[in-house]
Formats: sequence, C-alpha cells, structure tokens
Amino acid sequence: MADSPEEIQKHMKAYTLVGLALLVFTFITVAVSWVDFGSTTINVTIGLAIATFKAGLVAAIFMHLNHERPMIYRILVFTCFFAAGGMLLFILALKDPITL
Amino acid sequence: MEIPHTVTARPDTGLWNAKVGIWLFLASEVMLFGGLFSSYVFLRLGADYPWPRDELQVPFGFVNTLILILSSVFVVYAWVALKMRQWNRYRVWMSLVVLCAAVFLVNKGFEYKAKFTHYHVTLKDDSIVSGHIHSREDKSIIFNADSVTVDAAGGNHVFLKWLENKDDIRFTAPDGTEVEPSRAWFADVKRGLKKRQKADQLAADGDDAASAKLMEEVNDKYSALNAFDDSGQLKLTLSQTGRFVIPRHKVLSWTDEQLDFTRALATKLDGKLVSATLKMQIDELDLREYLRHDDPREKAVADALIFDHFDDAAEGQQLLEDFNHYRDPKLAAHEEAVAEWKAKHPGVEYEPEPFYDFERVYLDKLHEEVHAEDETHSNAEGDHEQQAAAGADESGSHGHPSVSIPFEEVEFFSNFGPRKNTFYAIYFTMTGLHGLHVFGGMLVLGYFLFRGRKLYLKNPEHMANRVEVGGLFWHFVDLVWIFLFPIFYLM
Amino acid sequence: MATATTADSNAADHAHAEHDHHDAPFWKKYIFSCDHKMIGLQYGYTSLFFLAFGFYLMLCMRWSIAYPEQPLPWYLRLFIVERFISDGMMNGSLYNMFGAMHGTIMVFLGVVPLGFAAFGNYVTPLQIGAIDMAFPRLNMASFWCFFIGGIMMLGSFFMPSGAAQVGWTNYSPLATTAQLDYPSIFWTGQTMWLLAMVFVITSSLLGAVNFIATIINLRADGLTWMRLPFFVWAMMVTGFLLLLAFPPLEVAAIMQLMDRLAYTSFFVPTGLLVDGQPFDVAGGGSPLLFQHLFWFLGHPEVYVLLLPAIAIVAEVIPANTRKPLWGYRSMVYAVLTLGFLSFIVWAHHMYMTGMGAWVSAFFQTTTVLISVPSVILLTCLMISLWGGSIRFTMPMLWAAAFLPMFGIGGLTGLPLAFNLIDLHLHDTYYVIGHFHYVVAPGIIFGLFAGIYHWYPNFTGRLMNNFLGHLHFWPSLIAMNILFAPMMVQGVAGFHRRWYDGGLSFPLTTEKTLFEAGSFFSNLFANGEVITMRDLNILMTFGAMMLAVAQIPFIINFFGSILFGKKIKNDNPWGATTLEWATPTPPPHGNFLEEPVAYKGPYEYSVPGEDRDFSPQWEPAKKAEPKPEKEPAGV
Repeated sequence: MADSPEEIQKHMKAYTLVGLALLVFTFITVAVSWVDFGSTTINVTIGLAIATFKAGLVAAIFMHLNHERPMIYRILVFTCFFAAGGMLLFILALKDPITL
Repeated sequence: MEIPHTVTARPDTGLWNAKVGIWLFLASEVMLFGGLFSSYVFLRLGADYPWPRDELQVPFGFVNTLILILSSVFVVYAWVALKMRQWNRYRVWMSLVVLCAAVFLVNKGFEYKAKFTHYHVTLKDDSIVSGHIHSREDKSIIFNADSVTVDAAGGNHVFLKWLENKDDIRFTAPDGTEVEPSRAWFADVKRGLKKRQKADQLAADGDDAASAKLMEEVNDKYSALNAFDDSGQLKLTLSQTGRFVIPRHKVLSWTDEQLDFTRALATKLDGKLVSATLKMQIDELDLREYLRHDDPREKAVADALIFDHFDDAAEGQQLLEDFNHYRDPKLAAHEEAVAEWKAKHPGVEYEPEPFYDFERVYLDKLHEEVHAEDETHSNAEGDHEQQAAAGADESGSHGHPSVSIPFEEVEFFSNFGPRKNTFYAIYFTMTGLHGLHVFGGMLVLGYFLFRGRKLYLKNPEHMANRVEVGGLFWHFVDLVWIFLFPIFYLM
Repeated sequence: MATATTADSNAADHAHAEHDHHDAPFWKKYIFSCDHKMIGLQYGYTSLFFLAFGFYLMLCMRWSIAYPEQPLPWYLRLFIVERFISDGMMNGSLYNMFGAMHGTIMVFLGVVPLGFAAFGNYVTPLQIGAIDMAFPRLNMASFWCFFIGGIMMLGSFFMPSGAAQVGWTNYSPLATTAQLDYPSIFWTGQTMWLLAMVFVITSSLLGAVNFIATIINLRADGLTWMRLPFFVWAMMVTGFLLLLAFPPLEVAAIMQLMDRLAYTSFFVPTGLLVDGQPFDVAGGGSPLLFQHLFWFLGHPEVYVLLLPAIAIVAEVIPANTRKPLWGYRSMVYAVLTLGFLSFIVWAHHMYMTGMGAWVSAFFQTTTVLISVPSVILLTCLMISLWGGSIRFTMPMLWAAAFLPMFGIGGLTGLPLAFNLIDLHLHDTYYVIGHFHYVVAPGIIFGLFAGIYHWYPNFTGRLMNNFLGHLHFWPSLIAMNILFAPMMVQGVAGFHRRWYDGGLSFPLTTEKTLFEAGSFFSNLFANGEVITMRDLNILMTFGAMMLAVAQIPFIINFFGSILFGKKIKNDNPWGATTLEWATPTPPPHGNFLEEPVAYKGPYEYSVPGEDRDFSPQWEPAKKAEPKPEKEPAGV
C-alpha cells in the first residue's frame, strides 16, 4: 500500500495520465461508433472492449485495485463471478438451442 | 467506548472498517447494476421491435462522460491533498467535484426534458410518426358536458381535475338539491353505503331494531346517499356547459354524445364531443414495422394510414414522394445484395432481417438530402428555393407537416418517456438510478467539503479515510457511466 | 483527609460512569439504540410478532380449504374487516391476499429477521469478542428500514384495494395488471408491496455489509478464522448471500414499480389482453425476466433462512453433548460451498416455464450438486451426537428435533430437483409440504432452540422447563399432522392454489387416497375410506393444535423474565464460546476486559482437564504448548 505522503505525491502524475487516457478513449469510443465494421455484433464488441478497458483503468488506478488487500480481491472475484454468471445464464435461458 | 479499527488498519487484514464496508457495499452495487445490465441484454435480445440504436443525442452523453471522468480525477486529487494535509487544496478539488456532479445532473435534466416533450404515435397499421405537440388540448379528448353520472360505490372526485371551468359550475341532483362532488362528499357517500349494506344485512338476520336504528343514522348523517338511484348511480346536471380536457388514457370509450371514464373513475359524461383527435407536428416517419420483412404481407407504402391524416394533403403527398425517392434505390441495392448472397450460398436458407433501417426517415435529414439533389439538378433555381425555404421556416411548418389523427386510429401513443418501449424504459431506469447515485454522491462529498473541517482538525487521517471511501463510491459511479454511455448512446 | 478526598473523587467518577451507562434517555436506550444487543432484541420482538401474524393468516386459509362452505369461526374473524368477506366466508380474493401476505411476511419479515438479524445481531459480536458491530448507527438504520417496510406491508391491508394478492413471488404480468382499477395506483396493496420490499431489501443490505465487516475486522485477539464458532461462519455466508442476491430482486422491484406507475413494459409481453381488452402499453417486455430476477434472489434466500437455524443447532449440540462438533472444518467448507452453489441453482423454480433443455440440464445438475454440502452439514451434526453424554435440556430437544424434521424437508426436495418429476409435482401440495417441512419444523425449531439457549444470556434467568415441554411436544406432533398429509395429497395431484379446497372439482376433493381397509385407513379411520377432504380437515386440526401449543411459549417467554429460575453463573450451559464470557446481561460494550481467544470454539471434555469444557477465553491450563491444531477434526 502506498500510504506514505511522499509515495502518494508520486502517484499524482499517474492519476493525471490516466485521466487524460480516459478522455482520449471517450473520443475513440464515439469515433469508433461512426465506423461500420460490418455487423452490429462487431461494433458492439469493439465498443464494449473499449469501455471495459476504461473501466479497468478506473478500477485499477483510481480505486487502487492494483495494490489492494487479498480480502478485497476475494470479495470482488466472487461478486464479478456471480454477476457475469447470472448474465450468461440469463442469455442462455433466452437463446437455448433446444426448446419446444 | 470506541469501536476499534475505525481509523487505523487491523494488522492481519490490513483494512480499516469503512474500507471493508465500502467494498462490500460496492459489491452489492455491482450486483444491482449487474442485474440491470442483464435485464438490458435480455430485453434487447428479446425485443420484437427494431431496437433503437441512434435515437439518443450523443452530445449530451458525451459531455456527461467527460464531466464524470474529470470529477473522478478531481476526487483523487482531493484525497491526495488530504493525505498531504493541504486543506485548502483539498477544498478546491472537492468543490470542483461537487460542481461537476451538479453540471452532470443539470445536463441530464435537459436531456430528459427533451425526451418528455417529444411524442410518438403508432397507428393501427403499425406505421409510426414522431413529433411535437403544442398544447395539452392537442393530445386530449375534449368534451362539452351537460351532465355527469357518478357511481356511489366506485365513483370519486378525480374527474374534476379535467374540468376546465369548474369554478363557474354548480352541480344539481335530480331532486333539485345542489351538490359539491368533492373528495369529502364521495367519502361520505361510501361510508353511508357501507352502513346501509350493514343495515340490510342486519335486517336479513332478523335484527330489525338494530337495522332500523342504523338506517336512521344513514338517513340522518349520510343524506347524500338518498339522491342515488337503485343501481347506485347519480346524474348531476351542470349549471352551464362544462368543458372537459381529458388525457386519452383516462377514457374508456366515447361516442358523440357520451364519454366513459376508466373503471377506476367510474364516471360518465353526457353532452357533446368536441374533439378526439391527436394533433402533432411530425419530424420522423417510421414505416419499419408497417413494412416488416419477416412477415410475408405485401404492403404499399402509399397505403399506410398515416398518409390519410395530413392537415395539408399536399404535404403528405410530398412526404410520400420524398420517402419513396429515398427508400427505393436503397431497397433495390439491398435486394441486389441479397440475390448475390443467395447465388454465393446455394442451399442455405436466407433469413431476412425483420426491419430495414432505411424505412425510417427523419424529416430534416430527408429534406436536406432531397434538397441537395434538387440543387444539383437545377442550380439556377437554387436561390429562389432557398428563399422560399427560409420563408417557410419562419412560419414554422416547413418540413414538419401537421397531422391530425383520430384516437380511434391510434394504436399506441406516448412521449419519449419510459413508457415508449422497453429501450426507453431501461434507459430511464438505469440512467435514473445512476443519476440518483450521482445525487447521493454529491450530497456525501458536499458534506465532506462543507462539514469536514472539524474532523480534519481532530483527526486528519480519519478525514482522509472518509474521503477515500467517498471517492471509491464516486469512481464506481463513474465506472457505471463508462458502460452506460456506449450501450445507450452508441450501439 | 487525603484518603477521604480520593474516595470522594472515586465515588464521583463512579457516579459519572453510572450516569453514562444507565441514564441514557429511554428512547435512546430502548428505541433508537445503537447497541447491537438491543437492536437484536428489537428485531427479535418484531419478527416474532410478524411470525404470529403470518401464522394467523395461515389459520384462516387452512380453515377455508377444509370448510369452504362454512363461515370462519369468530376467533378467526376478529381481525378481518367485513368488506373483505362474503357471508362470513373467505372469498377467493381474500384467500389470495392472505396467501401472498403469509408468504411474504413469513419469509421476509419473520424468519429472516429472526434468524439472521435478531440472533445474528445479538450473538455474532459477542461470539467474536467485539464490543459492538463495526457500524452501530448503520445497524440502527437497518432495523428502522426493516420496521418501515413491515409497517408498509401491514398498512397495505387497510387500503381500498387490500394487500397484494398475487403470491409472495409477485409474478408479472399478473402483478403488473392487478389492482389497476383504483383512482390512485400508488395507494394499492400491490404497489405498496413493492415499495415495502425496497425498504426491507435496503435493510438487509445494510445489515449484510455490517455483519461481514464486523466479522472480518473486529474479531478478538487470537480468534483466527478456524477458531470462529460455526455460527459466525454461517452468519458470514448468510451475509454474502444477502449482499449479492438481494440487489437483483431490488432491480426487479424497481422495474415492476415502473411497470405499475410509469406504464413501462419491462415484464409485459406484446399483445397482452386484460379482461379481454388490449393492455395499453408498448409491450415487448418479458415476464420471464421477472422470474429470473426474482429467483436469483429466491434461491439464495432459502439458505438465508436455513443457515442461521442450522448454525444455532451447531452451537446447541456440542454444548449439550459435551463433546466437540464433529467435522468442524468440513462443515465450514461445506457451508462455503453451499453459499457458492446457491447462486447458480435458481432456475429449478422455473422448470414449468418451458425452459430449453440446456438450461434445464444445467440447473438440474447444480441443484443435485447442492444437496452434497447440505448433507455434509446434517451428517456432521448427527455424528456429533454419537457417543456424547447428551443432556436433554430444552434447547437440545429442539435441536434434536430439527435434525429429522429438516432431513425430511431436504429429502422430499430431491425429486423436485429433476425436471420431469417437477413438472408433475410443481403446482401441487407436494411442493408446499416440502418447503414447509424445511422452514416450519426445520428452521423454526432451530430458531426455538436458539431462543431457549440464549435466553439466560439476555435475561439472567432460565425459561421454565415444564412449560417448555408443554410447548415442544405438542408442536412437534402438530407440525407433522399439519405437513405430512400435504405430501400424500400432492402426489395425488391436489393443486396448491384452491382456496375452497377444490370444492368446484368434486372429483378431486372426494378423491379416495386410501381405500377402506388399507393399512392407513385401518390405522387412522377405523377402516373407512380416506379422501382428500379428510386430510384437509386433519391438517386444519393440526394447525389449530399448533396455534394452541404456542400459548405456553408466550407465557414462558414473558413470564420467565420475572419469574424464571436465576442462573448461578454467567455460563449456565457450561459452554465454550465467547458470548458466555460476558456479565449477564451483557452491558453496553459487552466485555469487562478485552477477551482473548486461546483455543478453538468447541473444546469439550478435553482429556486431562478438571471440567468437561474449556472455554475459548481461558488459557490452556497445561504447561505443554498446545499446537495450533483444530479441536474439531477428530
């Protein structure tokens, strides 16, 4: 944990850079949405990939998840597993290949 | 008695209480928004109408994204300032965060307002137009009533809400007594009705004395009830014609002489129907569902019901021509592409897309396109036409024709609010909940900004911890928006 | 002179301390209290009230099923406003209202608050040696959210529409279109149900955050993870279940609120007709979505109900067999696995929706898997009895009865896990019988064990033994009279939602279940034919008997506060966990000195010690260093 004031001061630059990166990627998200990549699925996938990357930056740097305690990781891993698993099963239930 | 580990971390877990708490809370928030995102996917994959992909205004969402990202950076700065024990710098950054939150919400408010004042009508044959309605009367049923029939058991005073000139009107019962059909009066009627039923019950049980006593009370205290006839109805005559302007969804049915409110109101009007048409100025024509292609119906564009209802038939004819002019080449190109695909994939069954995007047009864009073509055709007349267009714009109708659609032909009518379809429903629910989170975060961070000084002087580390926790929540709100922006505005 | 001054100032200090502790105004000490014990008791009293109320609703329903053509007896009609009943008899919509509210109240306002919130709040901080919860004010907020939710739920009975009517699951589109014929849709029971649920859910979320944070961060010195009492482990898993499973239901409640108030169509399919009229919304939504969101909570909720009860039993059994809990470590891993799996079994409640084969197969598999950890828990508890010198105290009786009763409930659930069998059994009384065996004689028995077990801790007195027996034995018998026949009826196809006991289907009602002269008819009916109807009457008798059997408990519970036998020391059961290291009743702040845990939670009958229990807070007596080995493994 970077808890001493000096170390935190060092991180200021990183925070600024990440902020800039986020702004830039917001532009990219919009720009990419104007391009037709052939199908909606591909466009959606690209859009979501960029969004996920941005969200990852926020979580890792701003929310300090790049150096957090194991307990927090444990809680979040299960949460994300259930959230993602829930979503996948919802979709599976909707798009089941074998139905009446 | 102090709870341990509120400020300093517990050695073996390395965490102070609030940090565990906020992460647990965020975990539940992940599930909350996870459930909402799952619902979004579920609704989108299961939608039986063309899912709107480009209907929201990107600039609003884009600016809000930038604002939230900036505020996220600022909140980290504020935390760092506290860690460095620089109170004044903290105050600057935190003020900016709160300001960003406020701007975000105001921006959102404008966006919502634009949606709530924009309307959409689906006609009985699934042709759709959208546009603006200029007054409440244009979207209401207007009825001039001579008398009102109310029900003793189910009636209520709500119908008065839509009586325009209620201050000038007195209501008289058939026996000549004057009646004020207020909330209290209806409550009295209902109470009396219940007592009378009980009296009847007692009489049936053979307890005549008690029944008579109760009846006496009813006659005494709830005399309003006596005016009602045996079926529990009471026809009140209006002292002068009452003008009712009633939202469509509050009306069950109507004829030229009579109007029935919904069963929840249990009220009937007699008089003369003034208008039961929806008047709007349209800016979009959507025939995708009318012409849907997974359905073997053969339909001609010109037969769509909407073209019968233009106030100026010539404008309708013009729009029809423009629409065909825009659509026909695209349809031809598409059919060619399909034929090519079929030739390339013999034996594979072709599954048509149910909806073709080019069968929906925004009138502004359509006009631009057609206009541009005209210009290339006849450059000389250009100036003249532009002048004509400018003149028409001043009168406010050019390119946005007015239509009047009788409510009988309306299948579904709504503003672009949550009711419009599941896209708008989930859009308003998710962004609304997100907005509430922004608002909550703004309150908490504002509290830290204006009320944090005392704690800062007492225990600066505790204050820094609080801001860290508030910041974590704030980043999460930002993170959710990072997903909301593309899924609603861009894809 | 000097000594006198010192004494005086000491006395003053003392008085000051006294002032701090006892002169808090009444409302602060008993109503808006932040003390986890008081909040636990508040939860306890409130949820016991709700349990009694839900029980009353059930009595009315059972009467209506058994005697559909007879008016309700006067003692059941006491609380019903006349406008709801016709000729003194329950009608269909009142039955629906009572059915919906019975389920909702029992699950969300009765059992969960009693098991998780009341016992959890009271016992968990004591067992981990903490002075309070990590966030005491949040704890208070949690109780008051729950209380407001409960009041709204009760208040909905008094609205013109009456309370919600479409079952505790509140399925759309029925729930969306119900009670729309009122001038204000906001003030209908159906809408209130949703708003109340939002409050109850918020309360649970706040509680869950608080519990987990407390357990992670406020354990006493030396109380390592594997030294935690099983109850604490169970509370932590329960906390996670609430934390992660409730938000999707909150989403569902919000969306259904939107459907009702803003006329959205989240759960309304295209082309829905209501009373033959097209429903005036856009359509395009999915009723299945609601079921997914609901059961995503719904199934973990079952374990939220169960885990506190099973954990209480796991505390009571070692204390009364005087031997360690068998397989402590495997129980901990089992409960963690159980928590994990409970998130991915939800759709076994939805086989009837015509789900596809892949999904059905997946959920069928996970459902069968989840029985493994449940069986591990139950087996460990049973083996713990083996070779113990069992003291049949009141809590032990309840705990011992829990084991077979919960076993029946669990085993009857197995057939329901399978898609094909479920299709036959789903809407019958078999399902009702199954989950009531789990919840009523199972979980509620466990909770009674907890009340009798910890009663001395918060009153300093024991509950009366005679009244206890008068409570226990009739309850045990009545529960079985009430629920066992449901299985028989269910397999024979008795539908679970007939308010008049299937009166309009004479063939079903009078269907012969046991022929004249068969074993059962000889045993129970002097060789006469036994019909569905006879079983209904028998079950109603069982329900009445169960109601009467609770009277001794109520007398005992309140009477013993004043007249119960005083306990001789702070640890009347000779138990080993930290809640018995406090003074009785525990003061604000719980412990006189900061407790330290020196050993595992269930060190009973340790060889070489002079007593048959060695509490966690006492250092090992022998000089030889005790290895960090867990006591439970055996």
